[in-house]
Amino acid sequence: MPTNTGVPIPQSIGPAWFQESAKSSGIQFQHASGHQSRHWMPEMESGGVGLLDYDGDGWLDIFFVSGGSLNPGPTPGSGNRLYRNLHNGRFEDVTHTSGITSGSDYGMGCACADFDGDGWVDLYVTNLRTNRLWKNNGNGTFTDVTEKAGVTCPSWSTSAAFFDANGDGLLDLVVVNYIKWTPETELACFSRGGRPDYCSPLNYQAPALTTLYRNRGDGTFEDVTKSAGLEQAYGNGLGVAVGDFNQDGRLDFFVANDAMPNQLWLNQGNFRFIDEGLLRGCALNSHGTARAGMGVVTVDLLDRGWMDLFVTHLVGEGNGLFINTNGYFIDTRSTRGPMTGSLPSTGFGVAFADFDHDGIQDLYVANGRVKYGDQSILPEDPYAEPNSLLRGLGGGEFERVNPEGGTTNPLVATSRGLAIGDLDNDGDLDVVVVNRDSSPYLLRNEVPKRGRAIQFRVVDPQNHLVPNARLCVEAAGRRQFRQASPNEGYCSSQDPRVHVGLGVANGVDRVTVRWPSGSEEIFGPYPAGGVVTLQQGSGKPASGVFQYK
Amino acid sequence: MFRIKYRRHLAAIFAGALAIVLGIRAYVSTLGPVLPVPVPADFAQLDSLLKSHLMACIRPLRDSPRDSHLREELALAYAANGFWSEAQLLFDQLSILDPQDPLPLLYSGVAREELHDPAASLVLYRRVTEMFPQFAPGWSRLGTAALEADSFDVAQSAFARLTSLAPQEWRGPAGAGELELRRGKPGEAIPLLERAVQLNPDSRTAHHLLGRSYLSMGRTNEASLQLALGRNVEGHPMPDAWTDRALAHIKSRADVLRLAKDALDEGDPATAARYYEEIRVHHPNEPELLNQLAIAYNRLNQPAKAIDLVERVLKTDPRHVAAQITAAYANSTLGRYTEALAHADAAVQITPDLALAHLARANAFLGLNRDLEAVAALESAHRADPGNAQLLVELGTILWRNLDRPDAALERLESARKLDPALAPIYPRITALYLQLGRTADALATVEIWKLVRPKDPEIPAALARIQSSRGTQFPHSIPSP
Repeated sequence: MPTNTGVPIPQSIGPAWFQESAKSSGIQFQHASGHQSRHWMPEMESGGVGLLDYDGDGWLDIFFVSGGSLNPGPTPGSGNRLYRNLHNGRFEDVTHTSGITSGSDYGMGCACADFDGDGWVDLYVTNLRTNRLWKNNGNGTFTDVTEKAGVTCPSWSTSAAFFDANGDGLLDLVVVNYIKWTPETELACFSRGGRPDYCSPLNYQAPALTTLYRNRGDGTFEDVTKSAGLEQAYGNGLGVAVGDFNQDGRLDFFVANDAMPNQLWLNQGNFRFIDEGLLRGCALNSHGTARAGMGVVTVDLLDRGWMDLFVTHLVGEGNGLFINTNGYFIDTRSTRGPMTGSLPSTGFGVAFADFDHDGIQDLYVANGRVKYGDQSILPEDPYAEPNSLLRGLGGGEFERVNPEGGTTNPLVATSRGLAIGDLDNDGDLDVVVVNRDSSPYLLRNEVPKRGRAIQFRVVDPQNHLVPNARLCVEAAGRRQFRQASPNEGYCSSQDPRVHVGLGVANGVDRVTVRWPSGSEEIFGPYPAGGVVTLQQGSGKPASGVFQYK
Repeated sequence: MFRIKYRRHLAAIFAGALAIVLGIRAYVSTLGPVLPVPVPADFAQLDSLLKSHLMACIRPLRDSPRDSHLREELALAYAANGFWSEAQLLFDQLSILDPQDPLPLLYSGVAREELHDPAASLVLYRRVTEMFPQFAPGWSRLGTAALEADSFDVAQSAFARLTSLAPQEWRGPAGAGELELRRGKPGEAIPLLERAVQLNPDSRTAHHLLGRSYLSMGRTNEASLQLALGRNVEGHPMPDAWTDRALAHIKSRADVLRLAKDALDEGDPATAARYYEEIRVHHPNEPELLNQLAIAYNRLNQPAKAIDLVERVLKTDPRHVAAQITAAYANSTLGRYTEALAHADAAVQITPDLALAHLARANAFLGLNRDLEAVAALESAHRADPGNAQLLVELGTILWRNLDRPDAALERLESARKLDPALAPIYPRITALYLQLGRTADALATVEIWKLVRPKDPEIPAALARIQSSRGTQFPHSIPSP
């Protein structure tokens, strides 16, 4: 197993943080890129996962997105699969009864949200050609409403996110697209040693637009890409993260582009957006170089009330942290920051989470190459790499967890999408990772805890989950900032609940929620443990908690 | 007797042995020990072009293992093609064999950087500067690495030393400026970065850093332009005596293709063709290669050769879009515009939303003097790729020069400028259009920005002279000489 140098790593091997239990949990999903001999570019980017409580029983179910086939012949692998949580550590494949099909789609990722406000979480699947919107019928089945809803998005879509762009209480949809690609425009590219290999997106010179759909509120969407101003900037989009980055009371979104400048689409109101990534310092690295952006998450790393951005990158680039200072970003490098040890790997899925409940967020990154490397770690998979687990030390500092990746036996695969959530409702966060042409990981959290935790469901007056609500959680004299960010990372959808580790505190003194509209409310106190629902309108009005410090 | 004889024998044996030992010692101390010659584990699987080149470096070194120059060549060949583990071993050996040469030690550091060991590379760069304090590239590497490692004091002294050793080297003030920026002192960074831009107006890094500094000081307009000029930075370390030698060793197919593409983009099709032909020897039937080579030959005004190549591609794959487009251009070069249009139409039919296909169509229409259709095709290209400022420049130019629609042309060109203010060819056109429309103040304002974008553009004085004559005013003496 390769080790990184120059990176803090504990000398002694500690306890495992996770137990890999996909197979023993009944998950038989097998991702398939369809790779045969020719290196079709989409084969390298496919693989997402969504955590959603599709049957409303209070337990997270899992939706896996597979690739498909770009070659003639039958579709390999298991296709997209939906697994129902049986509440006993096991999952049941309910794909067939749910009505969800993959057909000839070539899958990339998914975003989960209740787009029509009927109380049932729906599923948007991004594909190489036509995306699918699966409406949850509330009886365990889904209906394909893509055409009717007007969200086909006939591009090569990757990540997507539902968010309320205009504050009307309806979830709009942003879909990130990668490149304009057809089999006819595929190119021959080569590895260092001259072997046929996957291309860089730059080889195609065909970046794509990000697509924005406005939710009309009647089950349909309007494509507002052009009128919103999104046609002003093209990119090779892979990741998307939503948040009010300049704290003007409107939700913005950030698009992580592969080898092109990232975009920061600042919401001007009335469905108008302007890309200010370059001006605000998050389009490029500090030298002005565009990196290969894959997954992206929002995180308030120093608990200051402003949302930073963490982007996973290509081998040799190191993962990137853009620290938000008053709406402007600084590409921050540090030998002890969350990019620690990332130089030798290519990161995709990413999530910050307090796995050990010490009150400091840790970091899990799903890694996997996109081109042949110097040495293959797995003979059967030249793109495989170990995933990374970093333990947060506070003050924005991290150390690598030993054993690597947090499992007793290192897990090595070409990992892509990643989702975190409390799958067994035991109060801590588990991890699900999709691996290219392989079985997924279901990593059950079993690290000895350093404290207690609490989870929040953040809902509007009609009890609909509110994505992108922000929380300031105060406990034992400390403040922690979080955002409900179900649709971020890489091609994946996370547990919509907000999990907060409390360390030594026995409970939360108060929670201030900043709603996407910009208004604030105070809730609490609450004892540690369990899931607390924070309903808009039922707290005390507040202001000024989310200020730059 | 025996004893004496034995003693004589013994003395002779001892003397002989001593001579051999001394001889070996002298040999070893003069020429050095025989050092191993590393070979990549996957050597057998390498592409034949790369393999033959590496073998051409390995074989003579195996024959003359004490030849430092041969060892250097192999080290550079490995480094140039990304075999950094093997290169590191050789650079380490060379740094012992040639302790008076800073380059092996420097490249030992580079190899460690490439192998993701920045801490070790920083140690080596420090050693380079300690042992060779007059060696400017060592200070440049040290400064950059120290900056990455947050060792601000080391970086500061390194960039200061670099500036004093090489006052015309832009990396000195640029590094010092970046350091001030990282320290949160943009006001102090600005003069340093302005100096860096002055030293090398083509340095995108310097423009980017200057833009960030302006931004931090609230000088948003200046920041926007500098950030635009600093787009698409590709980091290049300070050149040294091995830089060009290493370049000549690039034989990895992927990298040779990239070099060829860069040459094409930089308007050097002859170099591009040379690179492509080099690969073609080993891969005579590869469609993408043949197509790229055809592009190079067409730009070398050898369209018949280009057509011959793309026809080979299209014979096996008529849906090869890039080959259809190349065939369109090559036929246009030959004046066979009808054939060109047929190929461009085929490309559009295969991929209707590919801007390049529409552009090829527009080109054919222009050849046929069907300018309105050319504009329509360019509009389609623009719809397919609305973020491409170059397309708007083409569109504006045709509207202006071919259709005499200066207002429409100006609108397109201003849109292009908004998309990419760093695109220099926009400025002479916009200036001329403003003049044609009698808007001399706007023309002058455009030239002022043009001067920032390309300060040494020889067309600027002529443009200013035209503005001057059109309104009869005197201009400041700050007009740069051509």
